[in-house]
Amino acid sequence: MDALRDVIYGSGLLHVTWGTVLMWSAAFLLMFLAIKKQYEPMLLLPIAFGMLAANLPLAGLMEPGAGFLWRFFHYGVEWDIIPPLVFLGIGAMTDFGPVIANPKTLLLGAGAQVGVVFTLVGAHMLGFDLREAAAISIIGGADGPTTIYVGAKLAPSVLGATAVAAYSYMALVPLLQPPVMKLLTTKAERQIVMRQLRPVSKVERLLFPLVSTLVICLLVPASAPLMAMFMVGNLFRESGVVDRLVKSSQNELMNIIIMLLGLSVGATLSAETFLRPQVLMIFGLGMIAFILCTATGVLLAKFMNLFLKEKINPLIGAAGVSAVPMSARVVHAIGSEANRKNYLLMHAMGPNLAGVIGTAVLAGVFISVLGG
Amino acid sequence: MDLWELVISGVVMVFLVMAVLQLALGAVSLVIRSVEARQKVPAPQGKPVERGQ
Repeated sequence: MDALRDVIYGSGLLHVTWGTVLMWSAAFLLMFLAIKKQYEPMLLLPIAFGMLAANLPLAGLMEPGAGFLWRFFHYGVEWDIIPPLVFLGIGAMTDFGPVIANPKTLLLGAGAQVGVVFTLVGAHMLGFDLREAAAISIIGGADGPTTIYVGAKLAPSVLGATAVAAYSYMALVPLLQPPVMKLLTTKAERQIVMRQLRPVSKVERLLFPLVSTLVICLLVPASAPLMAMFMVGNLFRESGVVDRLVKSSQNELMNIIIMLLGLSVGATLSAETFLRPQVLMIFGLGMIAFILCTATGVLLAKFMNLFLKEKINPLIGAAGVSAVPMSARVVHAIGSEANRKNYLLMHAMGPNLAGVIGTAVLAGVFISVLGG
Repeated sequence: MDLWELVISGVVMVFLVMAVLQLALGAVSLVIRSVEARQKVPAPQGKPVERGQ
């Protein structure tokens, strides 16, 4: 009977608290959003399960040095291995043609990052220290791996919340962006038709990752882990001679990495770190960051139109938040709503990809200045 | 580190990187396109040769 009593006392059942029940509920809610609503399911589903698993009493999955999920998190995320590998996969999937054909769009990618900086100021004024404020504000860049990279480097205490906020809002891009875009543009501006992009030669495509790596990594060395992997993935793709590497980067490697990333980030969401009033503030600031980044992108596009002979449709500035390709699709939808003949998808892909680069550059600046 | 220093360095560096990248890409594609234009074989000139000549 003693043995039975020991087994019962040693089970997690007697250690369930209100905190753990609340965390399970939050995990189930995320699973519902991922499965039923299909909000970024590839990441939200493993994040939600990691959250559930990490909140199982006595399971010790996140126990430092011993926990199974802790090892994924420590060696994968804290050692900066997983986020750069995600960038490798994204690079192998990305066609930079729209950026090469119209390099002006790079500035729009930078414009959207101004919203991140505004959010940084707001978060700091609300009481977060500079490292936490930087990790929170980067949510506005709408780039999951970069958000996780910055969080792990600068503020591990807010990492789980910022990652969940980033992926949740990325799924909500079609709801968050259109009102801001419509508010800041006139119907005449939304109707602007842009000339079809020129074809891009293979040599230009091959040189793009090389030139970008040199420029970006020389100017902001702290962004090199993300940018170098992004560009080598793209070089694999454009070289046309390493099909197997491209396919592995796009599929098997990417899928494995995403599973490990989701599970380990979700596992950082314990009741002690998640059930705090600051987490609500992080979610609020994340949404503000998204809105501000959309607004600054559109406003920069309008400003550029003051100097350009051939006007650009200011809607494409909104795609400067990364969220590839969701944001570009939203721009295209709003543009064709104003003018049926408007085909903005490829034009919006330029700022969209520039936004990925811009967010990684800003992350590099934050890390180098605040010390990762 | 002061908040405003971080803000200014963030904005300046992002725009600087993008501007330099834009210039570099513009220069590279200008060179490539001019080289490609020179390498194009000119179309045959003059009267076509008729059969039997």
